[in-house]
Amino acid sequence: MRWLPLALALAVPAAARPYVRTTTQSSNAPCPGGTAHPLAWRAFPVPFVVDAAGSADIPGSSAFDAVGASFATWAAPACTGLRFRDDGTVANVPVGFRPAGPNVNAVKWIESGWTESAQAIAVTFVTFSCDTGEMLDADITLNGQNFTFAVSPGPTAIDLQSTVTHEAGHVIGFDHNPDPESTMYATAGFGETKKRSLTDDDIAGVCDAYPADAPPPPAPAAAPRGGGGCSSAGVDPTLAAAAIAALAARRRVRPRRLEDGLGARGSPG
Amino acid sequence: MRTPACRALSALVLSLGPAAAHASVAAEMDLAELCRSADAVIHGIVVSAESAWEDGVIATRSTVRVARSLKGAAGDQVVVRTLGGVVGGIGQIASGEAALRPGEEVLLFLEAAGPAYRAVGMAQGAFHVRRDPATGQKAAWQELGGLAVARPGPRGLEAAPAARGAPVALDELLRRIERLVAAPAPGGSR
Repeated sequence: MRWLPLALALAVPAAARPYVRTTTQSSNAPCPGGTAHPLAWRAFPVPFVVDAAGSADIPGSSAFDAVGASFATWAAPACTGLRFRDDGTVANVPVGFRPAGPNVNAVKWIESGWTESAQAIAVTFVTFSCDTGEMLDADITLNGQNFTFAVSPGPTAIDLQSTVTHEAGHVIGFDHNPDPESTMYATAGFGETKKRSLTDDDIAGVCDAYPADAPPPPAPAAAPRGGGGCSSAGVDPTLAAAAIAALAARRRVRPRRLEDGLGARGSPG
Repeated sequence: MRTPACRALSALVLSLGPAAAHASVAAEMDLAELCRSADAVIHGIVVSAESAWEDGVIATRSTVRVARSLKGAAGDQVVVRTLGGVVGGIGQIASGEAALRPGEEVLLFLEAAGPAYRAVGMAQGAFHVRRDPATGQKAAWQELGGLAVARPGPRGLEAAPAARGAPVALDELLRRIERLVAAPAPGGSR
């Protein structure tokens, strides 16, 4: 009988694997050295801004509110110390990372002049240190030129809050979760709203990566440069046990503290 | 009008591949749409890749030696620009982008983007080719794990099936592409 727990753990099907961390080896051009450091923010709160132009499809403040709620969802579980700071809106906010700075984490609709694939609905850029996995910048761009966004599901529009909640999971360092119920499932649903809230798997992930009773995770020792090699993103084995336990009573949990970690929105810049 | 066989193949090829990177969200494209949208369709080998900053974004330019051109006048080699890469110890992931690795055999659906090409539909436009050790045959698949895809449905854009499944035999895939490229496009234009 003493082998039963191990047997049960090994019997967990692939479809029920827990959350997946993005690492320094996840890029299409992986960091040199071959060491996979999980990506994570090292300081809280993590600030973000929304481009003042908002979405041409969504009048008033609804789009800004939906973006704020999306980030707040990840900070809501009591077991996480992750906090965001909503720094309001900025006119013509730049996207990308400049090594000399300054940089801001931005959410921006591109209503004209979309330069990437026309079929892309949203693209998230995450910039990080190869040596430590420390996240330096993250930006979400939404293709308003070719797609319509809405704050509620509709016949011709994409649900903004579901999409940004999914993308915000990448902003804090998570890759796709094979669990179809997860907010981080690869095909985060359009025309539905369940991805606005987190499953227990998602909560286990954010609480393991950013626990409430601990400071932001320290940077690991810098990896030696050089060499090659690459690997695909995978499940962090040190986190698997806790997440497997969470699977036993998986259910979708609505955020309890949407206001936590979310400051007052500033005036349009 | 697509044939049932083509629809089946399109559904299959769009459901392939292990998770490998990050998520963006893109409209789903089947094989016919990839063929129709591409300025060039090539089969070749990635020979080099170089990343550089471009106004806050890291882009990687990969040179692909063309073994066979199935559509467009691609020449002996093409340069494909993809988002993301590593420069000076800083990495950047552009979610859902196609991943091209030096030394890898690829089948690419490309659209012109300035002096370089880019993959049509992000990761959907790149098939990765490897020989199946069990059968000895070459197989191709898309790495869609980093890309959330959506398709039109009764309630608007809806989630497409999860990325999973087995690779497609390369020979069969090439034959399908040849037929699709040769077939008249809906509406009478290519």
